[in-house]
Amino acid sequence: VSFDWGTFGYNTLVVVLLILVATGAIPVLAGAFSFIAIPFHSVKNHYKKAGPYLPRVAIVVPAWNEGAVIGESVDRLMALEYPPENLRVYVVDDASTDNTPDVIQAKAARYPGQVFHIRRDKGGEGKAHTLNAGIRVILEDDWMEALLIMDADVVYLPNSLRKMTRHLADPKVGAVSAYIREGSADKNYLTRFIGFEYVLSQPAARRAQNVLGAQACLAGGAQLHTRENLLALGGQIDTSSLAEDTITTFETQLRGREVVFEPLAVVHAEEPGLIAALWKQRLRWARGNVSVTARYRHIWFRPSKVHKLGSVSFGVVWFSLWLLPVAMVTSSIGLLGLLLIHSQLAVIVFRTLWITAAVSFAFTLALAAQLDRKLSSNAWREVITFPGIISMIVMLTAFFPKLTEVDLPALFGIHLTAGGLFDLTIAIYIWIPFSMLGAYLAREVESTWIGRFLSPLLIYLVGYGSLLCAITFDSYIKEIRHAEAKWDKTEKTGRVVV
Amino acid sequence: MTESDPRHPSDEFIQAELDRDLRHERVLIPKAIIALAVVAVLVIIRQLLFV
Repeated sequence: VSFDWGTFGYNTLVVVLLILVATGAIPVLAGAFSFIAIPFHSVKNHYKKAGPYLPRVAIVVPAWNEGAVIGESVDRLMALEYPPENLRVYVVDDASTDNTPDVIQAKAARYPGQVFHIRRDKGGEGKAHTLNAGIRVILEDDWMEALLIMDADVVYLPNSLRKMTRHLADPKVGAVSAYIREGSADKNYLTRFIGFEYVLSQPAARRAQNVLGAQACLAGGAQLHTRENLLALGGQIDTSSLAEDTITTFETQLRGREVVFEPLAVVHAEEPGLIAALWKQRLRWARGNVSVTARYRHIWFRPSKVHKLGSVSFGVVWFSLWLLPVAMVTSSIGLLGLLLIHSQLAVIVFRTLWITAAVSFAFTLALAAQLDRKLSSNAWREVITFPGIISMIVMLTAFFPKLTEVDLPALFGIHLTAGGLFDLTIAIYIWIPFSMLGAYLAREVESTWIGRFLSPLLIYLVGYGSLLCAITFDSYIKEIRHAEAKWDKTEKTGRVVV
Repeated sequence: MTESDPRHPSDEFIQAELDRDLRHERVLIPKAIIALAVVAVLVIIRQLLFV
């Protein structure tokens, strides 16, 4: 009996490369799975268990140098369509050096017994520390029945709090989150991308999480807790990581309480208009998620009767997002390897992967665009180009191969030779990892004279998703290097409108 | 659906709003069907013109 080591080695290599390619399919399929769950929210939601309920709500607002926005925020809170005798606002001034204390004290005088100023002499320790200073005061008596955690700059629509509290009529619910909607008055390409990203991640993905029974994260600027839940969490917000919102969400569900996303409670927030500011904010979030993933290593893929965080579906969706940049790289390596060893499988696998991606993107974008029509119609360019113009061409190549390899070049009088076609194919197969480099370049040139034009152009070309992947990739590097994880506040200037 | 004093919504008002929001969620089904139709159109174009 003879054994053909050459064939064995070749076949083994092909299998390894196929596995690498398959890693790229997992996030695509996980995303599609999430979005397929969305229409089921029409029958599987929490509205049937909700009811008229207007508890006494203490609102805690962390404020550091928020003089430009805090006064109007307080006025808007006091004008909510909610019984004023059931509302108290506690603004925690985190050692501000601007006129924040004066503004808050003026509001406290205008709304006696309803608006309170809590001053921290030592600030800059992070949002969780600031919140805890307010929560300690709030828990000193029994007045508070529910606690609303918000940011100083966000604007609640008048009916939003009422739409959140109705879910607390169900004693099984520990916390409720609202839809944070990008609301800057002076929108640019980046805030429009962020606005649509928030549609994808909130009224779309969090509806799916309602259906699947596990929420990944309460919105930092709009989370409502029952007093019982807050006390069960130790009467304070976790201060050990940069992901206090996610930890609060997980801890609530681990104790058997439900977390509900209310898509019709809308809160407007100001989001970064520059890549550098977005990078700083999202790097903080991504590094926080690294610590969350490690901290809850004992729950992943371990189904429990108490909570759904250990379900396979939740684990796959969580890791698909967290490891997306890795999947992008490994998948491209697999495709390139198959092409270089001249495997017949390369073309078939490429088409299967990218047709799946194209179908998934088309369904995802078409559904999400309908969930917030006003925002989507204002950001139609960003909706269409969300995956990136070049990635869209790659998808077109997979979906309609003759179009990009023959018809389009022919329009310009170009006929691709076998060698040219091979080079083009390589470029297409390895595009995805390079799209992250394009996003990095967009950040690097942003502050230069050419960046005003080049950075938006690069983001439209490489895609907003690639920008987020590049930031996640940066978080891996920072974690590996054990870079200092400090709390950087995202600068807000009061640009929100309703 | 209006309330005479929006700052003191009655239980009936809140329940009516809740019922309306529950009905509102039903539009997710036709929206998903439209999204599936977009995908179907892409597949049909591919089958007719590019295969």
